[in-house]
Amino acid sequence: MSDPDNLTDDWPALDQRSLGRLMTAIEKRTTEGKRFSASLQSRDWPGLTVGLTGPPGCGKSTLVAALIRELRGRDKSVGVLAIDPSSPRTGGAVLGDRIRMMEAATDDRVFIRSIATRGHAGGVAPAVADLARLLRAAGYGWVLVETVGVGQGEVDIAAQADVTLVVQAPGLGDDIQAMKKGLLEVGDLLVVNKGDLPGADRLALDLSRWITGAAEKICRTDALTGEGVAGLIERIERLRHVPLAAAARPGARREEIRGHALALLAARLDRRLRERPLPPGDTWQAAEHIAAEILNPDA
Amino acid sequence: MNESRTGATPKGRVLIGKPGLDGHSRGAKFVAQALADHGFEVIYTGIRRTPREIAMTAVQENVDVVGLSLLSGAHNTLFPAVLAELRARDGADIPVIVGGVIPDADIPGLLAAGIVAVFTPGTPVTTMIAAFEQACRGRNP
Repeated sequence: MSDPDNLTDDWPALDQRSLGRLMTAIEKRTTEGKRFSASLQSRDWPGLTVGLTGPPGCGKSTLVAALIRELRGRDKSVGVLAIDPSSPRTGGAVLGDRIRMMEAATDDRVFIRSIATRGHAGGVAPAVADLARLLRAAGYGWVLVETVGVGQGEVDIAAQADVTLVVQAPGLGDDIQAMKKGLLEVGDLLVVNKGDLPGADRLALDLSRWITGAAEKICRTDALTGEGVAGLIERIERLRHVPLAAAARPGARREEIRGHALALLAARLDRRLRERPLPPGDTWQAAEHIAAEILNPDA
Repeated sequence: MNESRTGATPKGRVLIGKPGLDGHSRGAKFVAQALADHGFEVIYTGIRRTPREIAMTAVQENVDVVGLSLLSGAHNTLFPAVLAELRARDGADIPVIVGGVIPDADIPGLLAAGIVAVFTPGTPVTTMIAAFEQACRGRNP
């Protein structure tokens, strides 16, 4: 069944071994992986992709674990893509998100895959959209994509997910943080996690005051105890009926192509910087020179 | 000097975990960190894992190598149990490297059972990294 040279695109029949191998092929853009990506993009798949983003330590992984528990209680199959950063120095990574999700480790209707960013900016990795399609095609109807712990501007997940949760926790800043543009704006729902901690009320208040439309978007959870998680799932389910699914948004395909093109250009840029001498002049002139070189290789 | 490397391929994907009832994770964490510092993607599963949890994680993550650390004395039971769970999931081809407090007398039996390398206290970290590099070679090209 799972001969690595003989993987099929009979998605629902794939066992977990085959699915794991196929993901590697898609990530590495092998000849087979390219074929699978094309096949996966040839139609829409049932199910829902939910993105979770937010700063490190706000409880994203623990919230994913709580969502898995609640969804399994409702007899749903769940796929998880958990993204962590690669080291810019060595290319290595410690992928530790799934340690929070171990109670689902032997459930064969839960599939969890850790993904390293491999130098890509924006909080997700280029293959994530196809890997989410693959999980849905294979019958994991709820796909939870956990981004790297982000700062304030990493909003790429919003283009790839049907519903984006921006997770926040108390204790990470004052109301000026809530006023800033960027991450907080892209959430379809704003989750105030660690709802048991002092400051959670204040955070919810600051968000509702400063983010346009936030009052209707705020969900309070305590992922450790599971409080508020059932309500969060109901909020997500209600949103799925609003025409905001990625497939229905005209910009979704453009944003995905933009992400892939950026990744290709960035890889060429890094290779150029590494392998050949830097142009003379100030840093702006040198950058313009290199950009022209990459965009017009024959000039 | 930090140097950005967009799309750089890691040396391999490795699972590091601790099967059974022993909470001494310092060795496992040290090896996980050393491998990441040498360009591996390391999926760290933490302590007190069952053989099935480790095998299912290895398969879902499609790792090139599984590395297990164990100091409880149950190595003759738990390491072969991990191999059996991997076989049951079509993962018999995934090499398993182990380390921990393992008497010399038990090493030949573990190797015969299918473990590819056994490291005991005092092994230089470079030796372990070389073994993981060797085990990753040619897998998931």
